[in-house]
Amino acid sequence: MTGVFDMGVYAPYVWGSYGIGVLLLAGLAYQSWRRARITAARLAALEAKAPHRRRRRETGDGS
Amino acid sequence: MHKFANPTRFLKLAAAVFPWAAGLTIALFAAGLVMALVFSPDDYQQGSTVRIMYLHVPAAWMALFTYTVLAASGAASLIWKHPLADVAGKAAAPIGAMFTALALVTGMLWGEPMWGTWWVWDARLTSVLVLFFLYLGYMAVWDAIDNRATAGKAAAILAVVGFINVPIIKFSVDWWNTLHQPASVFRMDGPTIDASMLWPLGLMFGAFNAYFVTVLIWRIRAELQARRVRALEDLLVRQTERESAV
Repeated sequence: MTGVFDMGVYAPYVWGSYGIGVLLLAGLAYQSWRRARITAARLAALEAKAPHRRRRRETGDGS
Repeated sequence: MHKFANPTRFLKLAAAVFPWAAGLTIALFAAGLVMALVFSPDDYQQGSTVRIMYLHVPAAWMALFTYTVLAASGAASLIWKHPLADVAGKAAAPIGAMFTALALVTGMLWGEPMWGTWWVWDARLTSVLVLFFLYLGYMAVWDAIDNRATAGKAAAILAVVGFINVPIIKFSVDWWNTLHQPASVFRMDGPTIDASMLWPLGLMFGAFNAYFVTVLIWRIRAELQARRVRALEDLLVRQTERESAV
């Protein structure tokens, strides 16, 4: 395996690119996932407060 | 297409697509990164910096693709007033901005050792920077205008008008003398890259596409939920006001 990850003199540029790539891709994915979870929880709490808004026929299980 | 503009129907479809998109994102990134960092060869002129291509090129392609999605959703919003079109555009914009930022930064990190400069104001680099600002402008419009219908309309107009920049970016390397090289994959006479480099590039392109679908679904879900939250909050406020008035 020696040399497989050896980028030679250009190592800072190559690893810098991949480092920033991982940070940006993972960062946005995490933020998007978290926001979806937070809004889902907020919506569930509000729907519990305003149950008359639910259309029971459409939810099927009546929950 | 029109029937998927219904949010409920879209969420049903998204729930079916999501596990495949998320699974493909992980599998393709794993395979693509191993190919890009381990099995693909160094370039005889560029050495190991050629590996930056496997991030830079898919990021740049996706930056253009996402803007096309943004412009299409803007057009759908203005012409048909699809309820999901605004939501899709608003959800896609930060993903496109991130792809553009990644293309710009990796381009600088590639340019410095190969061209001897981080940046030049040539047609390709400048038009991609303009694309980044178009994304930021689109997001700023949504944030700056309180009335959501007005914000959606203004953002949609900006997205459609800004689409003129997409062909300019694509053909900038042919129309002007640029330091940036011309296309080597999507060419009329076929790709000019060796298969040992085309494979990792293809895998990473697939990974970026699957990533886009995965994150877009999360963001559309969040936006639809946020809209229902606002509607329910308004309803609760009105209800409380009515009760206190009685």
